[in-house]
Amino acid sequence: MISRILFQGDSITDADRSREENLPLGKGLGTGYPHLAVSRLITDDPGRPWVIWNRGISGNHVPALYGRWEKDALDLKPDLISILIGINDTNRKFGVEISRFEKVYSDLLSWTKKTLPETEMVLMEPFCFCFGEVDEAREKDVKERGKIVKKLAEEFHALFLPCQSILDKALERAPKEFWLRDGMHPNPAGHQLLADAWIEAAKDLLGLSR
Amino acid sequence: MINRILFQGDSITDVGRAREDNLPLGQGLGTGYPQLVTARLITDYPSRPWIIENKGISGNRVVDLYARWKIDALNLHPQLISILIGVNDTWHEFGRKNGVEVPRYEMVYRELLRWTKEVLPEVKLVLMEPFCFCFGAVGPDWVPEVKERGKIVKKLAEEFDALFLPCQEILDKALERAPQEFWLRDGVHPALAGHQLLADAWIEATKELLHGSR
Repeated sequence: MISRILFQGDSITDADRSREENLPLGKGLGTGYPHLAVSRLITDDPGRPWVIWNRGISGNHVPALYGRWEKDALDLKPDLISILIGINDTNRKFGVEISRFEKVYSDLLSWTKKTLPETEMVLMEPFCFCFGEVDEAREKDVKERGKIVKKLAEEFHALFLPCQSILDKALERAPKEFWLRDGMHPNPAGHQLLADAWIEAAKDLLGLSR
Repeated sequence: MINRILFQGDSITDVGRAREDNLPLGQGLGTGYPQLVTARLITDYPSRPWIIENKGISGNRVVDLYARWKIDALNLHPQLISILIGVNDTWHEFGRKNGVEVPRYEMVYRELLRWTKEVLPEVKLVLMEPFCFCFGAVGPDWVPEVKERGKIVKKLAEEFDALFLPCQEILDKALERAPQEFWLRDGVHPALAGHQLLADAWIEATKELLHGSR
């Protein structure tokens, strides 16, 4: 039964999470989708011996995640790792090109499978809307990375969370500025959308009867 | 249609909320039940012009709330005010002889509500029952007094046509699913799951008020 869950990623996952370790359950998870998903999860299934980490770090791209993967993922021996990475890889100054993104992401996943063969994975699609920090060229780049993440999810038998589709669908209910604050970072409602989708997608994996 | 909501109270409401004003929707609300309620509400009803504020302040007793009520409640012209206050009125007596005895709690709380209805006659009120479990910071001599305050809040809710949220009952019922330490971290302050319980109950209780007559 899955009870040890790790959230990994960049600022979208970080969302002001605490840098302290060994905090009580549910503390220091920030204010983003990991916090909202965990709050729902532990309340609905309070009997499980939950151990939950948020180790997202603002500004991370896939090489940065790879650089700290041993200490900030593998060593924790989670039963489930949820990853959202890619938007910073499209940054014109410090980003990495698509082929390198795919290579490093793929290496990170094979390393994970080798070290923790039983660990389940949720790969969240990088997403954006074309406004604020994001122009058309960047939007195109982000969508390419999304396709790669989907492919990697199939290859590594991970769960793929189609964040971009979820956000696109939400545009029927409110404009893009309601869900994302600058084209990249979710507003609270965007985080709640992701949290709802995460719970819905992972509920079978987690054995939740909802 | 209700779209301006104010959360008021003590540390249980505060939970690290920002002290700045005019933040974007849903930001700086802390990490407690006001934030969880807000994230749910605005996501489920995204097209409403929400203005949601959290003005809870750690350590507040009903007299502290009263003292800042004009600036931190009435002047904001909310359409709905949610109040959770009372545990410090007991706690501060045991800690530093600065509590508010039960009859004065009732008197000041009633005065605060009367003032609210006078200035904002259309405002809707949600009164949340003060709660505790007997462990951590909470001694056995607290429990009857906190329960006494709960009864007063229930009475005031009837008197002022407010919605009463039976938090103690909700928490007591949750003990069937997990021990007290899972829901409250020290007998007073909710852990994350406790906040989610309160948030779920709040959403459920206000459904008709917020979405009934559309």
